Amino acid sequence: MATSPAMAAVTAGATVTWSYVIATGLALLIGRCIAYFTRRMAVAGSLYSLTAKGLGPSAAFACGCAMLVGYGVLGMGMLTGCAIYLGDLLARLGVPRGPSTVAVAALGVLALGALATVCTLRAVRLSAQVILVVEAVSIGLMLVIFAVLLTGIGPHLDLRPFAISSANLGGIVGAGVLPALGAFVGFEAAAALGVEARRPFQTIPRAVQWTAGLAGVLFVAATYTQVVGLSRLPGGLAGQGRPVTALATAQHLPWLSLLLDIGIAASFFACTLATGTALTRVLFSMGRDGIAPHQFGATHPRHRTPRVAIMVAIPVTAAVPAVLLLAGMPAGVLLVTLINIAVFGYLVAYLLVCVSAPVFLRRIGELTVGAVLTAAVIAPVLVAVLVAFTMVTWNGPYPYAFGLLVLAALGWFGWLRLRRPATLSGIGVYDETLAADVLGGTDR
Amino acid sequence: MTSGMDPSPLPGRQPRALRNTLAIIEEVVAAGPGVTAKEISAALKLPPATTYRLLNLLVGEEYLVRLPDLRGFARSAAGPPGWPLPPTPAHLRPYAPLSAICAATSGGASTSPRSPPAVSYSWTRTATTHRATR
Repeated sequence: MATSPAMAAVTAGATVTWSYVIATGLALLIGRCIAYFTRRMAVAGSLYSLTAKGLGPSAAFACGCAMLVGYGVLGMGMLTGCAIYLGDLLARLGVPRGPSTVAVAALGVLALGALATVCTLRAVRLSAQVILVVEAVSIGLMLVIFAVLLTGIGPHLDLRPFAISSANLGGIVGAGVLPALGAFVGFEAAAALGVEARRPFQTIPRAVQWTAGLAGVLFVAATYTQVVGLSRLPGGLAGQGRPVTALATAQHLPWLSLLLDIGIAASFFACTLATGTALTRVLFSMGRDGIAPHQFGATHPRHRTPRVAIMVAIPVTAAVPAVLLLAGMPAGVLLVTLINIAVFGYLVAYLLVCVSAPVFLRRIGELTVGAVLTAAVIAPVLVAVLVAFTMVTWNGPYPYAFGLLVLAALGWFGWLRLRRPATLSGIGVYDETLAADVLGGTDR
Repeated sequence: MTSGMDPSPLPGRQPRALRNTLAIIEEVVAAGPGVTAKEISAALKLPPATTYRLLNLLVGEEYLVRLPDLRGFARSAAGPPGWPLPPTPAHLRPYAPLSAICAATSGGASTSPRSPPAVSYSWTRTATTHRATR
């Protein structure tokens, strides 16, 4: 919320506010497609298990791999981001930056990873409460900061961020929506808690849609503040690496920067917990389906959390960025690279689940015009966004990273196809209704 | 199913939506486990989108369940709090209601007027005695 508008503004310019309005609409449409499933079935595997009921096993496998990349790599990025802002905080408090800074950052990532492992291993209620409290505090902090900054700017409503001309229309629709939509990824994480939630058919679709809507409102407010506030600085919003910090400095409010670092670091950590929770549920479902090691399908005897998946996956998400940091990759570059790779994974998964929705509804005989229209609008947009994303990131490490990931996924798929074709065709585990759930049993 | 002159305090379309919801539950009971959304929509002559929405609402509230094929519906055994129904309150008289007596005097019913009503926890409209005791 504090950092992403600047990334979008680099490509969209001052019309970045509109990019967020459009991205919110797209996220709500994706949420609608997800709700077609989550109102009808309770899953632990998020979009992976949902796609299986629409497009079948091969597409579900692709979606599962995309989700693993999305959740896993985003978790890595969030841990890195948390370490960056904690480092800033230490520097601001007077701790000198020495040659050992990199090692400290890597150690920080590992320590945060250990903390995240412990939090997610305990009952899901605990990690959910931690996420809720931390996010409430950090969003509250941001709102206070934005209010202070807006008061400094002046009481008049500046409509320039919403001005549209034919000259900037391309920027809004094309380049700006892409990173803006990237800021929404992970809003569907609640879909991985279908099995653990109470009344999942009500709560899960609601949680996903509310997350998209609320995040959209916050993003638009944050972007407005930053565009208006930074329009007087050279380069505007796009020229800032840490826009809110720059805004606070520009208005001579250094104590805000301190609060900001705490808020952003906390928010990154909460996001690590959320992605870790979802990632381990996808692995859990894959273990149950038999396409991943079956140990992933085991749960903690007391806390009922997917113990093995957590003990394996979350340490890995901490180890990868720690190694990359020690190998000499600058932390800021690492953060952006990881987020971009994750966004690619999410976009593929969103596309698959949105195409899946009308197929699923048709299969169970509940297809409606609304569902077809929703998918018909969102699917081409997602394809366009994916193409744009590939073109934007073509120069850099991304083609190699994607190539490696796709090769790994294809290898895994080929092995399953050869050795366990029956298991592969049966994937998509979900919480089925049992005879005991039906009044009088099922005798028809 | 009448509509229009409804003295209920529910505004607008709510009385109709409520009746449709109850009709769907009755249809699931009548047709038995496994009845699909399309069949319910056809039987009740309700628009499909309305039927799907109400069915999803009922499944969300755990009055109904979806069977493992995700097409068929059945009544939920777990259900919301208070389901199955609590025993009949003790202060209600265990006698047949007036309607049963009238029916008996006109020769329509075979049960003795003073015998307690058979309580069946089914939602069918035929159980007049059951509705009166509730």
